[in-house]
Amino acid sequence: MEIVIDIDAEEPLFAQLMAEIKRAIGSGGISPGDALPSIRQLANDLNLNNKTVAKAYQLLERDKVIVTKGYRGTFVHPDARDNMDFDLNAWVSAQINQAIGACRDKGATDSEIRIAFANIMQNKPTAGE
Amino acid sequence: MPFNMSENAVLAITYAVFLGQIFLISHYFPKRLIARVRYVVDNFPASDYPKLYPNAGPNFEANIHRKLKLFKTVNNGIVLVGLLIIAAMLGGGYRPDPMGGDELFVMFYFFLQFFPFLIVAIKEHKQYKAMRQAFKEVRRTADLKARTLFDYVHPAAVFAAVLCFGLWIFYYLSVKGWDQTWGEEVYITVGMTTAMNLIYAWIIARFLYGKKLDPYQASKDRMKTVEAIVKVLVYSSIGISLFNMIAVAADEYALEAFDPVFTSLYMQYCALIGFGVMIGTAKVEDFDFSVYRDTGKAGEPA
Repeated sequence: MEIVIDIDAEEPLFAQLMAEIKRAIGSGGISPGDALPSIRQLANDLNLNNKTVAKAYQLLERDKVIVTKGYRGTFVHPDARDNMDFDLNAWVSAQINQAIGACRDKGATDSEIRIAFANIMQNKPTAGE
Repeated sequence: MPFNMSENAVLAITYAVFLGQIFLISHYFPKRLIARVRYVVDNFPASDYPKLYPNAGPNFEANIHRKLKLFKTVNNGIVLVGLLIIAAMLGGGYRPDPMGGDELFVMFYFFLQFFPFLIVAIKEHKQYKAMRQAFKEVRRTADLKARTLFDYVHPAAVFAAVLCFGLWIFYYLSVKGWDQTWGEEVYITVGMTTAMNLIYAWIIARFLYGKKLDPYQASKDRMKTVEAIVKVLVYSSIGISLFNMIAVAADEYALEAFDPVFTSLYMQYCALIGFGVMIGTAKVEDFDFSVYRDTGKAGEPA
């Protein structure tokens, strides 16, 4: 199953790689349990930095589309076809949107919401703690 | 003489095998290599396939044909040298040395035969480097299949290589004596053969997982090329171990008079493996040369 990336495209290379691997799974080109190339092999084949491929693999593993089994290598996750429809970024946006909506309903200003969000992200003590 | 064989019989075998070496390595293989290059240059000219010849200048095809003629001439000269060696041996009343050592002339002649091929290999390496430097494609492709050693060579061949290596070490050290103090020669011999096999393993890993030599080559053609290289190295490893065992056995059983024969046969085996497997597995007639056409904007059809 061949994948293609465009180094001149606006989409980041790691994102293109993730999309191509998901496309390959969705089209049946590779199946759950199939072995994927090592990071080094894929990076050399595409003439990319190892870190680009490593990032794509890391995020795919987070999303349970692939699974790494130590020295044995990387494989397509058994539930890849179900898991790859889940868009984590979209879910995060939806959660934050919901939280912000609730805050605004209570009368909080955008500035107060921004400060609280920044403090939480930086693990600083928030009001009431 | 070993096995009560007459000296003339040993000489006849030596001359016949050496003649085989002369013609196989300096006549037959150069002829096949020239035909292979001519096929590519004549059927896929620089005007239509510029990516294949990034450094093609004016009169490129004429220059290539001139260089092929030079390659042929040099190899013909090496054949002549080989025949002169045989003539000198016949005229000088050569007799095989029962203590061994005559294989050196076979080895030195092989190095002479190998030299033109080494030049070709260096030129090929420079060609690939020029192609990589000229590579400006924005679309990059890769196969989503993990490559393993056994995709390219049968496990039995790898097992045979490991087994032969182990057997050779065991036999060699047995002959030297397990309870003896081993001299420098033993450590050097075992060390060099081990190092050679490790180098082979490194080269195989480089071709399996490293960057593409030819950035344009189609995936299926790359697989064929890698398959050829892996097989060459695995079979070469088997050859080294077997040759070493035969060399040790020759000393053990007073067969040193056959050392030139064994050495020549081993050199021919190396050439057969190195060249024969390559042209048999990676046939240029089956390659996809459309990848070297000019596509106008990089990555898009012209």
